[in-house]
Amino acid sequence: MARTIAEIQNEILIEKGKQPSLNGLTDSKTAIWKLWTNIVATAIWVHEKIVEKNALISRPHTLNWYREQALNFHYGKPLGQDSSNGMPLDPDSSNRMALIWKDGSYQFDTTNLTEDEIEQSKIIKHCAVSEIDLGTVLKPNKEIEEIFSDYFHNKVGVVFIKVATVKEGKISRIDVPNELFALKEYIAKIKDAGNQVHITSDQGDRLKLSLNVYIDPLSIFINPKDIEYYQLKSLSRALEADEQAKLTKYEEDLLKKPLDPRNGSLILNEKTFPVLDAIENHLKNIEFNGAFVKTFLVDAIQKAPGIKIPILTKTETAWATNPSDKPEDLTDVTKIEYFIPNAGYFDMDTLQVEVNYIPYTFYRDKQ
Amino acid sequence: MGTIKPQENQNIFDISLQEYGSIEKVFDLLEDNDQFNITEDISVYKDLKIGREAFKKDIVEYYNSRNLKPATSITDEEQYLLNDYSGIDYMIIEDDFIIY
Repeated sequence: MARTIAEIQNEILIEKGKQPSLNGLTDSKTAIWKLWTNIVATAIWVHEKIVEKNALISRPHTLNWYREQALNFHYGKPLGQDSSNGMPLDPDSSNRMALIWKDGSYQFDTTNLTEDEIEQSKIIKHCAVSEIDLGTVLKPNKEIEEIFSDYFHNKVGVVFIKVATVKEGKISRIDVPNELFALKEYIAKIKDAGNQVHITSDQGDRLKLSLNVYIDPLSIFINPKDIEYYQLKSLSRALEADEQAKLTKYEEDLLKKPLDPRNGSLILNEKTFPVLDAIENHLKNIEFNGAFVKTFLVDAIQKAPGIKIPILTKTETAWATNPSDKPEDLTDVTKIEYFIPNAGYFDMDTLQVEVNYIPYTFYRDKQ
Repeated sequence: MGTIKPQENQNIFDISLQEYGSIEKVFDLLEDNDQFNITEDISVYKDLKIGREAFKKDIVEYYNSRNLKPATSITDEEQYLLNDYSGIDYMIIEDDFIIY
């Protein structure tokens, strides 16, 4: 951890105090020698920061180092060049870019490639590396609440690498099996002997959110015929017989005349749905392999225009499966305050959001 | 996270000073903007991502309330003048400052 400029300067001042010959210096706050100590301290600080950063990624075989290596992986050669590219291909590799031994480590041969092409061949845009400590594994019966997804995923003695790329502005998995296979081979080549490395790149987790949102009817549109249906659905207690009958009737009516699609949009702009936009924006901005925190999501919705009280009533999630397989059942994780998605991110295409819009007018109901 | 437009003649240290009140945030600033080179010039056409907590709030307030924007980057013109050593300050007595 690099020291702050003030700490470094302080040490210089202490050292200066030990030199009797420097006692005659003026004590003015703007004394030139004080400025000089500051300049020297700043220079040392910059140096320490750079060394710290370098140590973080270059010290071999720490988790950070694995991450850096994965992010630095080059796949294939960019399109539009002849296949051999004039370079000898590594016969052992399924990657189409040659790996050469240079300066004491394996490196990709990027001669004859422009910077753009090099950038294009770096397919890994997101990467998270983790391992699990022995203690967690030795107590398998411990209640698992907080580390919802990672618990099942990580085993001791194994380095887990989750990677993802960005396609059309959206985070998505890399090409399985081709790109993943090449990456696995690359890591196998550079890792320490005896280390087990497990690399995954999965489709984003599925997420289903149910919300009751009290909105300002002056700025957000709700069709008056739908209000009572939303209100009945938003009740958390068990419905009474007549309410249940009402709800059933509403649901029957909905088959003929569905909910107004404009519900929840801004009155001034029918194309903007503040709640949905806020959720999508928040999920997109969670960092890769970062936790989904319920409270943060509610905070984000609260900031959207026209929203009075957002209440997250239900959260469900499931790992993504291959398109051909039967999708996994959603698990109710409402009680868990935060969890990390298995793939490291949520799939925005399968995101389901169910919102009950209720006008924020109850201050008048009592009168 | 927000973005700001750098002004003419500002460098990354100026931005750090202006937004966070200290140059000690300069590495955070670089990280937020996916840059790694501390000496690279910044462009007025490229917005910078900001939005971390200020390091010294009073200094940020000072700059804000007086609408000050530090810009200490050296211009080409100044560089030229600097390189062209002449005048009293640059002369050395009995070397190029000789009175006959």
